[in-house]
Amino acid sequence: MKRREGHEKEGISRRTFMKWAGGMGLALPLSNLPLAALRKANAAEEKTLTVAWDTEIDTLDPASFKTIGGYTTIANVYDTPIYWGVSPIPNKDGFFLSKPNEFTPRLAESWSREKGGATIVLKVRKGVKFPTGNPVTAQAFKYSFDRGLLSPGYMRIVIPSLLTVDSPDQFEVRDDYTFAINMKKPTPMALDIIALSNNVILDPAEVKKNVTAEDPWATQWLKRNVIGGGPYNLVKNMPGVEIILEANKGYWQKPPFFERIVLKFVPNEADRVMLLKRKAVDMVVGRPGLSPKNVKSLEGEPGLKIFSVPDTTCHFVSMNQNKPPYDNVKVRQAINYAIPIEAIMPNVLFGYGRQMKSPVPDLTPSYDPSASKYKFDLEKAKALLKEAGYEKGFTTNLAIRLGWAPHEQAAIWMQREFEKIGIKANIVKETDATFRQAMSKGDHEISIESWQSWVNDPFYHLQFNFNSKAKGTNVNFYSNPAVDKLIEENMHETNLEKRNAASRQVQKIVIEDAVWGFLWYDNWTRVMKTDVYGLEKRWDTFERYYGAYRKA
Amino acid sequence: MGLSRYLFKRLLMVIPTLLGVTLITFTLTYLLPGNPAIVKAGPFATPEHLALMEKEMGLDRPIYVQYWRYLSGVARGDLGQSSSTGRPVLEDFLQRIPATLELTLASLMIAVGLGIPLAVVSAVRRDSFLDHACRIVGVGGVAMPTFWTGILLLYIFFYYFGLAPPPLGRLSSGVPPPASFTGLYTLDSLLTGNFRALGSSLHHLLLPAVTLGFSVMAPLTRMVRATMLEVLSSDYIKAAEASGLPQRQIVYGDALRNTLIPVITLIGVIFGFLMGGNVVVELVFGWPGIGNYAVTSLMSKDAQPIQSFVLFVSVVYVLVNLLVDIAYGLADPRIRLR
Repeated sequence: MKRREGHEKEGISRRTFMKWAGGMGLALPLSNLPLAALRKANAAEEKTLTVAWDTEIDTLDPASFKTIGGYTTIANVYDTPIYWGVSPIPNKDGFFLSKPNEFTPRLAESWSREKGGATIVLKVRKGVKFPTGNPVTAQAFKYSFDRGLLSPGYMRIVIPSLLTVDSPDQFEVRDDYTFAINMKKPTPMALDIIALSNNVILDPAEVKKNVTAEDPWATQWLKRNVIGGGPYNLVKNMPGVEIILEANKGYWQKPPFFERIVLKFVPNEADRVMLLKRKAVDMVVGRPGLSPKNVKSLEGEPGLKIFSVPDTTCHFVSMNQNKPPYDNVKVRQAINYAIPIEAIMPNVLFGYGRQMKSPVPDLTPSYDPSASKYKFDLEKAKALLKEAGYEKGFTTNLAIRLGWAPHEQAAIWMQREFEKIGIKANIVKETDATFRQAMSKGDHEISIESWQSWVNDPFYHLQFNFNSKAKGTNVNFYSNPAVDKLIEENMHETNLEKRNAASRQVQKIVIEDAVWGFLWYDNWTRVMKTDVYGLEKRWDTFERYYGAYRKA
Repeated sequence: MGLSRYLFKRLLMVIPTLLGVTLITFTLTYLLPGNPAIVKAGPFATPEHLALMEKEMGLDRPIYVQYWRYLSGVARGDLGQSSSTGRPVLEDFLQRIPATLELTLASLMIAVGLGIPLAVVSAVRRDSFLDHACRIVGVGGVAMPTFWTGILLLYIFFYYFGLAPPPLGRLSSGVPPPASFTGLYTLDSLLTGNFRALGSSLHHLLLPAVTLGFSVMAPLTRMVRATMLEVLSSDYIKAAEASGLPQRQIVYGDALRNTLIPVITLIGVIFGFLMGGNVVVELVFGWPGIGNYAVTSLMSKDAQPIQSFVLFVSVVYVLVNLLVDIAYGLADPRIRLR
């Protein structure tokens, strides 16, 4: 509301200026001309969404792992067979949220299961065309899934392990508009995996034009070129400046409200705050686009509103079990009792997060906080250290990522309390790349880590974080045969009751083993002008701007 | 004959200098912790996937092979690929150099245009109120870090008064960039008579250029003032004064001209400093130049752009030094004899 006033005021002052200029001797017909142009400019502004973030496009190859900038662009310029469905949030006009196991049709107009769920049949929507004019067919579906499985990207890791498909023969074209995925066994995660933005449907004719002998899937070409077919076209990608998306005129659904999405690269967080306060941008996105402290400072700012919903991102203290004393469960438990979580929540998260009570996010099916037992208790921590033989404490390095404000602040809170039980923690700040290298090599002693599961499924989450075979993602080097067995046996279990019970059992063991230092679950927070609506938050956290609109 | 030999020798010396620079930049980024393949491969990469990635990126080869590949690439104009933008580094550089050059030239103009007159006035009216004021301004410029000056100016002129444009690049959104000849938006829009782009680009240029210009004005002012004082107390000025020449002519005619000779060197050094020292100002103002690029690349351990940035700044310094030497050689025959 407030923003509209400001907006109009500006318009009026310009108009007043024009009248004044007219009075100064400009001929009347002439002064009408700029006025019309001005109105047109205002209308264009109305239909343009300007967003500030701090990410760029590293690659546009759908099958690759990408930066947030790359993923968000892909999610807007292509279409997937299905989407995670979103439902309106009560009392939050114009905002939408995914719920577990809800999907909406996109290029696949319907789906069904066969062979007890081992086969998923997708019916391709008829009459949809790629920008080239070629129709979207089951052959295009197969080509795109084959490409994911066989091209040197990231889907070639995901598809075999999570969809139990390791041969292109399992992707079957039944007729021009029927595509079937014949998995080895049914899995409750199948639709979630299909909904990943990596599985966008590509126009095979266009890809084939750009293949070479050594690059049969045109990965080089697709890195920088978009075939499209989604609600928006990528019209400009100027690294360090901006990315511009424009509505796709030939889209199979009605055109989106915003004709242009301008994504401005603003690397400095202080600038992002200032831009919002001045209403020079409509919204700040990214992860983390704004730290909780800055979001707090924007509360009540006239003309702005904050949209914050629970998200599945987990923040935790990772304790490397290959490095003593963290191989000792009592030490890990002591760390958990020494984390001043009651102080961290209000002073670092400012209400934009929830305390972590289980290794599984509180939005995920089978989440069970009942086994949670850790609370801030230095006496207990001291006693545990004594039992572990570290009565005098020890010195350790606590690694954090440079520039991640909540992690830096939480580290300082913990450092102070650790000191009281004799643990001297040196805070080591590392750039993202250094941090990740040390993490995967197992060089960290303890560190503050974060993890977000794109698929909101307990076993997807547990597999990556707690299975001893999940090298590179099980950053604690936790190894418990009982947990491995429970995860592997229930990964694709279709009896959901049994599966959820197994998940609860794993949660209980992981809490007892104090694998993580339990910190918090993030909120997904966006700050925007009051007239921006229609934001949809999905499991993968990337914005699809198709549903966004402006309303006075 | 002497001059061309001097030039030839001078140019020849550039080659080992640049080779040394490439060796240092390569070694530095090689030693820098952080494996670019890990960043590229993503968090779910298996060790096999990672090994493949390293092989693709040539990271499994011995260091001297990697250096040779880098060096021969540079010679062909191939600076490698940026992993954060997915484009060839050369392309990223060509897009960003004009932005940095424009900012550098503008801030140099501000520093020289304001700094030299200020210095002359404070030298002539030594210990006056004006002299002290200049000293305070000068020291302030050095003492205040540029990110601080930048944020302060942004806060006052953009946030508080709304006079300056948002720190979102070089033009307002909706203003198409002028036809490109030099890549300097102000110059290009002047050349094409595109006054809308000219206004917008000047508007966007002002605050960052002032911030940067202010930071280098101080050493310039101090040096010009000191040299001016020295010159003013020399015998020939005294002789001129004794002959009753007007003060104006003495100061601006004789003294200033002799003062400016060492200043040429300083301006050269400042230019080099600005081309590389833009980093912070570019970051604060969202200026899409190479400094901004270098910082973003450093954060993601994007090795090739960092190497290229250091290489670029070194080349600028080498060229500036060469030009200064040549200018000196032309101006002062004694230098050539050495």
